[in-house]
Amino acid sequence: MNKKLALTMVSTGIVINIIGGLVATTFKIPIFLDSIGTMLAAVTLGPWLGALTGLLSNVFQGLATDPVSIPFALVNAVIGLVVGFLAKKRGFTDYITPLLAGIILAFVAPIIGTPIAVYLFGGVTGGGVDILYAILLKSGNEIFASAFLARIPANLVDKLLSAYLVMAIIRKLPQNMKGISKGPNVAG
Amino acid sequence: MLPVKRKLFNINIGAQAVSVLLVLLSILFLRTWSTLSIFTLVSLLIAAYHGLLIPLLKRLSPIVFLGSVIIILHTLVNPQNRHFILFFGLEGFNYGLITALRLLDIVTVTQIFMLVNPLRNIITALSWIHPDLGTVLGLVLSILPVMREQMEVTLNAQIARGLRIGKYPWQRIKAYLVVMIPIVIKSLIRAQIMAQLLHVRGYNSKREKRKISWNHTDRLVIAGGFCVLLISLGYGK
Repeated sequence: MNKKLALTMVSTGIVINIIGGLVATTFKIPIFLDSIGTMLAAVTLGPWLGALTGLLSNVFQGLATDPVSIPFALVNAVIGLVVGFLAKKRGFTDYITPLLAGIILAFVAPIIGTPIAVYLFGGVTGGGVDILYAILLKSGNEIFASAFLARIPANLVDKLLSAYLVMAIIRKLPQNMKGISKGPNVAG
Repeated sequence: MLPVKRKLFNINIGAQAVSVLLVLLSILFLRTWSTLSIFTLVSLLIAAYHGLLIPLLKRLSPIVFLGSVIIILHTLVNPQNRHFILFFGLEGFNYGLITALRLLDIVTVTQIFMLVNPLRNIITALSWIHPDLGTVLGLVLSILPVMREQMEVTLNAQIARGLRIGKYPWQRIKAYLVVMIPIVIKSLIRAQIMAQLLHVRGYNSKREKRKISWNHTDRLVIAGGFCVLLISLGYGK
């Protein structure tokens, strides 16, 4: 039964990622908000299944609509790993762990995503971040440095918001669905 | 016998995928705008020959727009710009053009593959790697339309309850949370129900012995992919 629940939770995580991104686009929010499902899967199922959720989210989106999202699967997988390991170590029901997750991911996600974005898009995203990117380039920064620095503020808001949303949801879940999010002393 | 134009649709999906991966790898070795342009032209000709040009161009239009932004931005502000025509930097233009063409080539090749093979077929083929992988992606395919409908219902319900999306980002984020939280909760409940259904139906993901059954044409397609890779390795620079 646990394996079947893991399968359906991974699928649900992928769908939440897609719908999350879609609602953010519909509301014209200038951040991605497409990793809530990855974080949720990582917090309930653990880091590796969280990483799988992130990886498959981008692969599915790539196959369905946008093939260039496939290389960014690596970023989403790392989000799953970081959040999963943090949840395993500290639980995910306090106020500090989502803050830690948000801050770590605000730097880790651009570290992995920027080389891909620079190679594929020359650092351009087609969104509001491009204005900051252009300003940084104009002030004499290198392409990689500009693309990296331009992504940090948006990522910080995005990841903090996603992490706190996941925390709020996890706190309301029944005990049998909380998985590893209860922390090392309570889990099991 | 099927007409020649349909032949691409008859090649084994696995052979197509291997060939596409080899072609994508070969794009990474192309470093001049001339070779990338030739690649774009050949890809478009192949698509036109198979009657896929119009749907392909429709799918490529956002990439063409993004490519234009890449070229303009780097022409104006690339730090490598040393030679200028008015205020347009030549080095930045060259960098932007190569990046935009490479992106266009990558998307063209993958979109041709996706136009030839419907998503459901690709997912079925992925279950060859592992049955659970096919199950997960198959479940996504079946849940996604339901959840999209759920999203619209929730949005309309919250608007009826007085939700205003607002002008400022924080107002929009608040509206986002009001819509997303019920969707996430409902999807978690759905996940539990689906797990119970898989359990009672005796879902079993035992791996069976798998055999590759590629015919002569499939092998030729893969050989073609290798040829493109070798050519790009030789002439890419």
